[in-house]
Amino acid sequence: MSIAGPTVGRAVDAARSALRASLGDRVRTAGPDRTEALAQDGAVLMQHAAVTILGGSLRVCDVPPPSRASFEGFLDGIQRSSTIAYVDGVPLLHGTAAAAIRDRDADGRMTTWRAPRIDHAIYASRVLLGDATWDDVSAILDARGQSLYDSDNALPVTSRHPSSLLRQALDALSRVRNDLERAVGDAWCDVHPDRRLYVDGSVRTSHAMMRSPGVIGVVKSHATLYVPDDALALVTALGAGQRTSVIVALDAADRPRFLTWYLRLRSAVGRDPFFGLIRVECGVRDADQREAEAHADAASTWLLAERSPIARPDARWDVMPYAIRDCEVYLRAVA
Amino acid sequence: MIAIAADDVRRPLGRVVATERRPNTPHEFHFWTALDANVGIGTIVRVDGTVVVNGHVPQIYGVVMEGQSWTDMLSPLDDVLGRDGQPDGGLVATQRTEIRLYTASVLRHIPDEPLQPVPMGTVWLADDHDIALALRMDGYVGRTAIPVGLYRSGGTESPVYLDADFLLGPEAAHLNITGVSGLATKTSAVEWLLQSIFAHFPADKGSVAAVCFNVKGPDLLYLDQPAALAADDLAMYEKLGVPAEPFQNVQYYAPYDAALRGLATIRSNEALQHNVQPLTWGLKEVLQYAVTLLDREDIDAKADALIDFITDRVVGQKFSDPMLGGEMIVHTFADLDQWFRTLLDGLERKDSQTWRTHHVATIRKVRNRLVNLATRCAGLVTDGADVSDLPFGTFEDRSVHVLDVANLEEDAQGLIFARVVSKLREHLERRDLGVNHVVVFVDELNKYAPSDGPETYVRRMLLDIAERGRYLGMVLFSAQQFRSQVHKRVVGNAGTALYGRMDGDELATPGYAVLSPAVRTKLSTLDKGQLMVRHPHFTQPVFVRFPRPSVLTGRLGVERFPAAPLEEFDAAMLRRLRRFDGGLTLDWLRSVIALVDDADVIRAVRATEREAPRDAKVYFSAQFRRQVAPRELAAPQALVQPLALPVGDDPYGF
Repeated sequence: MSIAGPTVGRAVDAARSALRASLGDRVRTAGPDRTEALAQDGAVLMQHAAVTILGGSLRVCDVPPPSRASFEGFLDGIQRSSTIAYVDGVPLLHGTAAAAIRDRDADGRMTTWRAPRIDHAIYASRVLLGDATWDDVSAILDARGQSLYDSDNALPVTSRHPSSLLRQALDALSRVRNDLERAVGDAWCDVHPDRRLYVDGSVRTSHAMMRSPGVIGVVKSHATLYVPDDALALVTALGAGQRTSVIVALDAADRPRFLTWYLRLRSAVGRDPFFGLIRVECGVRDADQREAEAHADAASTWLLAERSPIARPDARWDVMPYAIRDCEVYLRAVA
Repeated sequence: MIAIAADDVRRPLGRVVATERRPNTPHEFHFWTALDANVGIGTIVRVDGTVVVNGHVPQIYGVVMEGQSWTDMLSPLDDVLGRDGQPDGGLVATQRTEIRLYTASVLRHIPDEPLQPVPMGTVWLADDHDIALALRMDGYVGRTAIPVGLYRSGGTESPVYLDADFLLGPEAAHLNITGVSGLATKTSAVEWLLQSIFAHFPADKGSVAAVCFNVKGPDLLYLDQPAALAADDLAMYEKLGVPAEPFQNVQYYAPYDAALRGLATIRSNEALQHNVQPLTWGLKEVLQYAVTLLDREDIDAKADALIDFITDRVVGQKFSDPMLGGEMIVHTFADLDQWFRTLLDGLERKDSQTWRTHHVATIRKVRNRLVNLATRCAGLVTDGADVSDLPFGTFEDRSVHVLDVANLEEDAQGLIFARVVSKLREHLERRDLGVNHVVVFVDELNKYAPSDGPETYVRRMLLDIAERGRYLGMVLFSAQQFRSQVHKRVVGNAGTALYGRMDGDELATPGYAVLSPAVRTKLSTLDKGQLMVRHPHFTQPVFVRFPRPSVLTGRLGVERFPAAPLEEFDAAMLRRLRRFDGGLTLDWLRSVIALVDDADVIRAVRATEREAPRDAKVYFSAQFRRQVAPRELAAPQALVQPLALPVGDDPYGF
């Protein structure tokens, strides 16, 4: 049975109220609709990571409130792409990747640390183009100052379907962006081993960043879960300013690879379960649980200090600090 | 002399930006700056283009007219959220990205052609050299430049010059200054500018003098007295090349007060009397301008014709007519009154209603109005022939003549203005004033040349100066509180306009619509000593600062030189006579004038002053013997004059 448009909202509200009346606190308001985004995360949800929970079971910890801003650098990268042509049905993707660190001074003003790293290139599948065509295209582009990257280096060609080829090219572009971010982050760690750096994304691809005690990576999406399913309810129930206990992510040989924990930046009351929820990463420096928890407390405090100003109009403002948005805006302006 | 700036290594101030929604044009451009950039409304900047056009890299000069700032905040609600609803709450880790975007109006393109939209480029604070180019002063600095003040912004302190050819003529002329009372420094600005003109007016342009009408307060009454200036002011004088000294050649004029006890001026302190002289006119001086005192609705063409007849044929010459019974010479108002009496008696005797086409009612009316002038302008207009006037014909270069009319009735002010301006004009036309240029300063233009209200002689005179004065060398410096309420042709003909602190209501009038909101805001908050200048060479208004005048302010002048207390009549007369004989006593004077009218005493004192005799005592006493000689008693007159009934259809009969 269909319900007329204007009455849908009222009907849904009535249903929600009835659910809450029957089930109590087990019912949460979903807040502004992010159904599509959350469902997309679900689509790419690969697996549970191999982890060990320090202390044996996951706990909720209150984070000390921040008294000052601690991060001095903010690392982020961007990528941008457009298909410029199809050669023999093979797409040529123009991709731009860039990474930079924005340096924050004592007054909270942002400037760019060193020069941003920017890469412009054309991505295409060499296998499908064929060597002769590849050489022709490469020469033509080279004469115009453009580089041609082989996207086969990222993912193997599985289909000639243009969508598949574009995905392959985009993956190659993402790798370039990750490389740029890592290079910038490594340079920071070389020069400022003790200055605190906020990395938008994972830090586990860089040994230098993993070793640096002031480098904290923040992952905003939750496609990969670092807790077992039965502990997920505890994660989603975190209140503002609360974190989980520290989780040790393991490598293929079950050795500690990095530390991670979940942190709720903002209250999710009236919102979906992942509103304001981030996962924090840092290198393993000490196997001692107390040390790890203390570091998690400190780093979480640093992160809570970044809640204001908010990063609107970015849709991810609940989990993104303003300084990272500033870095993105900067990169989009210069790249 | 303009200092050429060294090719320094300063950092650029900003960068030109343009978007489709906010494009640059040939007359306006936009640029952003760092947050701490030393730039504001009125700052002059230079844009260095990056693309060669027609063989030149264009340089554009502009003056900042508007400024805006904003952040990347989408909604004010974002800040509320970020601070948890508490204005002082929350830790704000990062300052939002903020832009300072300025809009500048173009002052000059170099090269002038082709005239294109302002290109993208770096923006620099203007230095001395840039200021000179931007304001097109390079064409006259060193020749006809008159410093008007210092442009100050971003560490730059550059003299700004007016072009004498456009300030005192002949290319353009006149200056108008507007602003609220007390804060706009209108009088100070004029005093400063006169000093600057006297110091810099080029010799090859001739000589210049100033005639100032002091219509209120004491501000213009101490132009010859030095002021204590602050170091900053002295530095400005030095930078602008103007001596920080009072005016060297100042003469003050004031009529007597109505009771004839002394001059009607606050500048009555004994120590300042060396250059104060009475302003008194007799019949001859006044009659030509009597129309200024007569109500236009009261005086018609017939009365005008009779006044013209008397002016042309009667006054100052032998006049005989059968009706008068012989020859008469009219020199004074007393003579004129006698002339009228004789004429009317003759008409009555002959029972005639007309004389030389003039109806007896018109004659009675003109007699009434003219003879009454001496009463209405008592102190200025004398019954007798003693005259004390401005030195028309012997004006000295760089001299200032201040007419203190502040304490006079409006009628007398109008008469003084009309006659002085007319005489200046006559002499300038004949090239025998003594100087080639004369600056006439009139304050309170709202009163004397309003945009509405009845047509007055003074307004016509002001219009005449404004429209034709520059060809003669007569320059009007005028001031008022509300420019919008002054006759458009007076302010419109002022080639140079100065604006001090302005009233918000005034700024809301259409005349200021050409100014940006930011400029209007700045005008409403200008400090003392700051002016906005519009000048024919400046394509946009420029803000300058000028030093305090190096003359004593009116307030300090009154404190330092308090006005002499109002004296008893006898004491006042004695004081004037003692200038010639210090041994005269009050008892002696009282014995001499015991039976004499005050007017006769005044007449005798004036005669003594005019002659400056070696023996003032004898000379003064002799005046009375002649003036008050015994006379035969006239036949008793009726205490009440019979009413004259209307005659015929003459509406003025009574």
